[in-house]
Amino acid sequence: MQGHATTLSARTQTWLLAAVVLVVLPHLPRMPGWITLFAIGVGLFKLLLLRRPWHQPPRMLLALLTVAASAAVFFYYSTLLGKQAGVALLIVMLALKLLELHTLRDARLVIYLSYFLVITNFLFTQTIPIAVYMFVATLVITAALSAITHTSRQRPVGSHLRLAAVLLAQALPIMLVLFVFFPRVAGPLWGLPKDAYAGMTGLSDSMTPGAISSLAQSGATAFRVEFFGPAPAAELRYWRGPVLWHTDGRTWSPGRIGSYPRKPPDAVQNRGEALRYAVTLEGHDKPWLLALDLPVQISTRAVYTVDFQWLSYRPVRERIRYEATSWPHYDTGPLHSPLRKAALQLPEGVSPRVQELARDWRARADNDRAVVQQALDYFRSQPFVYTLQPPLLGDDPVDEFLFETRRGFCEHYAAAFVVLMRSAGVPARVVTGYQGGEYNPVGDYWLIRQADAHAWAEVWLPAAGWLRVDPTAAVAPERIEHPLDLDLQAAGTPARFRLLETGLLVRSWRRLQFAVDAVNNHWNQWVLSYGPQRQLELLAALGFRQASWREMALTLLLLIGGCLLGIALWMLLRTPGPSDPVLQAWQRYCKHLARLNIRRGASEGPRDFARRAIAAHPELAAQVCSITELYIRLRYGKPLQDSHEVKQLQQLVRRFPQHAG
Amino acid sequence: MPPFSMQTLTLRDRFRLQRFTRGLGVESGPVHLDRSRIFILPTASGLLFACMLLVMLFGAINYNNSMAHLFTFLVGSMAMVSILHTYRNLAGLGFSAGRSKPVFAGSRAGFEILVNNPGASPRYGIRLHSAEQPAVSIDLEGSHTVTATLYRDARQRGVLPLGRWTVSTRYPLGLLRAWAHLELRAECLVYPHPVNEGPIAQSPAYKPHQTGDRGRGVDDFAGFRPYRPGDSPRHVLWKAAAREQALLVKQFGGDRADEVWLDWEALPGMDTEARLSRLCRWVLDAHRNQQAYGLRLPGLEIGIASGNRHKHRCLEALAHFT
Repeated sequence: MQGHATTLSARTQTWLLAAVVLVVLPHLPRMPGWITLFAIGVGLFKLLLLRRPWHQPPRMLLALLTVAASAAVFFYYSTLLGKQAGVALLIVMLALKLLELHTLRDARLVIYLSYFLVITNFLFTQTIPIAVYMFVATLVITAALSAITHTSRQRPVGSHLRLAAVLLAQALPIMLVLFVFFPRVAGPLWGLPKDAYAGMTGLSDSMTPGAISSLAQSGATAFRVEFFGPAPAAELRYWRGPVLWHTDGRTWSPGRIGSYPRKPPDAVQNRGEALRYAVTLEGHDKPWLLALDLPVQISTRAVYTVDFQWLSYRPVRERIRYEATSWPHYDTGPLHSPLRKAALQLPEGVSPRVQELARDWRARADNDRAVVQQALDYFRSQPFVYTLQPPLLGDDPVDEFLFETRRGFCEHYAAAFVVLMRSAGVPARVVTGYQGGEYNPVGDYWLIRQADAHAWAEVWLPAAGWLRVDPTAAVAPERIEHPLDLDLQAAGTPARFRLLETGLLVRSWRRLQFAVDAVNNHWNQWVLSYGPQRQLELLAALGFRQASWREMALTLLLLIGGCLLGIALWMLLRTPGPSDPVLQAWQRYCKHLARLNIRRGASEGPRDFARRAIAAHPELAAQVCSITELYIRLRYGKPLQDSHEVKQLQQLVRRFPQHAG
Repeated sequence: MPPFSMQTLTLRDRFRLQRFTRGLGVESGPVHLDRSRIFILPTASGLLFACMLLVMLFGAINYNNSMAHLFTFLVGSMAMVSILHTYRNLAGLGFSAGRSKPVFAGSRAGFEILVNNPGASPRYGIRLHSAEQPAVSIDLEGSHTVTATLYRDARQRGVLPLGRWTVSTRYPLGLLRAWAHLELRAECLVYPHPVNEGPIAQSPAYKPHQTGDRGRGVDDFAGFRPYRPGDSPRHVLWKAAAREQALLVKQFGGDRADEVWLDWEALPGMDTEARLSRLCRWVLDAHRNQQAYGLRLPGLEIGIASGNRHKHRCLEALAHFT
């Protein structure tokens, strides 16, 4: 089409460079060092070429570089697919293309690839600042597209930016319509590359010493909770995650028994008030749906297991929102024998010291509850330290932890406690999840971070059923009351907790953080997690219950058409007609006559036209004559128009009978 | 012909393919572009853009990425909105035929087109082109008229109509092209091609003129006139000068008068076009030599005269000769 061998002007090339720099920049920190250096190097070289047009690098060299760079990307990632490798390849290609801009087609390709790179940025992060930044980038890319389309003239830079701004502003309503009504399909459409869900953090389905403490150093959001009513006290805010039954002495795993489904709430009996709340869970690539202990009902499709977990049918890969009901005070009823067997499983070779300790407790207690109490007393009275950086443990971590290091994080306490209980003949298991959370007064919700990850134990007692026991609380009761303060952790020292801040500065800083997180929460709820599920809910709320595809498509088309029509009208109204008031009045007068079927010929003078009009409608003679004479005087007479006469003409035209026919 | 508008189109007319490919036929007077004349289709790069949007959408769906959805829709909506801008860039423009200078066959005839922007907003990248000419691009400020020239090859003598041409624009982003086919009543007179070879002009009119010979020569003494700088000293009337009378020069008239008849019959045995081409050359030569000349064609005679208007009258007669 327009691909003649035109050499693009330096101005055009500067536009392209600006667009590319804007979209590539946010990617650079994610890229391996050599790609970052390469991209920056090429960008600077291009800038130099623009200021001092040497002869361009030879085509052979560029071709060689292209092949070499693609090969380098391939060997670095051992693939060219996947988001990391794909983006790396795009950046390398785009950078090299900048050095080889000859035709308009090259320029268009650069622009299109830049639009594409905007989208790829969102595969890594979707925060509000990035969205705003990308909107600006889109504006510049569009201005660049306008600038390369109209190279022939020297339009000022601002006019392209203004045009792009107008286009984008007018596109916004249609974008919204499409965003809300365009039928959403639950992806993926085909197999995603392996690294698609890289970087999701969350609980794992197994627990080794140190697993949770490493998670506890992440400030990332795990989920947010809104309570429909008063929030429970801190000692009740245990968020249930994977339950671990089986241990080999070091690693804990769910075992086979735990995932058996059961019908909620089964034999569980409520011993208090029910709590209702909504959870917005971040994607963590695992099936469990975190809920307050003990969850009995959930609003999304999920399986209820024998150990009271809710499991989604598919791994939770994007943020989802569900409502749930929990009974904080409960009685789970009897324990069936296969479960009892699993809850008493012990690894080979529990050390004699551990067995001795458990036997001692059993001997001194007359029931299971007393055994549990003695264990808790033991943890409380012995010099145990709660720390995020516990020393490494050897082959028998339970024994080593209990009798030698005595420094550990929650998983150490939970694991040791359960092994001791089982050795003493009390059915027990490890439960992982989150504990606590931080209240956001701005948004009225609780924020639970990965740092709140926790592990505790459950024992089965004949009178109460499964009962939560948190040995960590015995060692560090403040852990339960206050979240960990990530900023104050240092290696090997006891864990520090976030206590009440009193300083005004600190308080305002916290407030600001709350506000930012509240905004983020809304962004997540309404923008980022808008998917097939939310679309259905919204459409149902708007009255489209079980709308067919045909209806949906029709609605979409009507809405888009309506938007376009509105924009078209707005553009038309804003487009001023002839700026000359005399001409405007004359045209209005001609329109009036046209309605009477008297149309002015293209070359017909005003007088001839008037003669024809009077012949057809003699009753209008007076008006036609005065308008025509005034028009001729104003338009062809004196060089300066008399504003009084102009007004007179406008008035005459306004009074002209409009529907005289 | 009444001014054209959508209301006067019957439904059948409206969907005639001819309107799409060729336009509406010859029209006189200024033509204003409205929605009945303007067509819009995506360009090749617009189609490529659409493909890119599709890929972006698949990416967004595949990764279940909300912001990718949002920005794909943003860019797509922008392309939709640009349809309106492309249309508006052409809508309302007025076109009328300007002058076109006569040309000789074998050269290019230029037709002036007056493009008028009645609105206040500027129009950018308005391209005019015809089958025989690559596009000329013009920009129009608000309430301005710009003259563009369309060229056609003038292959044969006669009247050359401008024919159908196209006004188009790819504003604002080059994704779409709006166009309208126009055929204004504009004509260019094409004179025959003046050949160089062949016989030179004959049949000079040697008869003395009835009102006396006004020609200048060296043969016959015709009288005296006052000296003008540049006169030959040999013609100065030195005797009178010696008597300190006025400085006079002798004036001579020649009876080899500079009058010539350019005659069709003087070129026997040639075909019509060759004769006309030869006559055309003679007219030009005679005009250049400041001769007075007349033209005789079968059934037409233009009397002896000289000057630009005479020349054009003769050339016009040659152009129109049948």
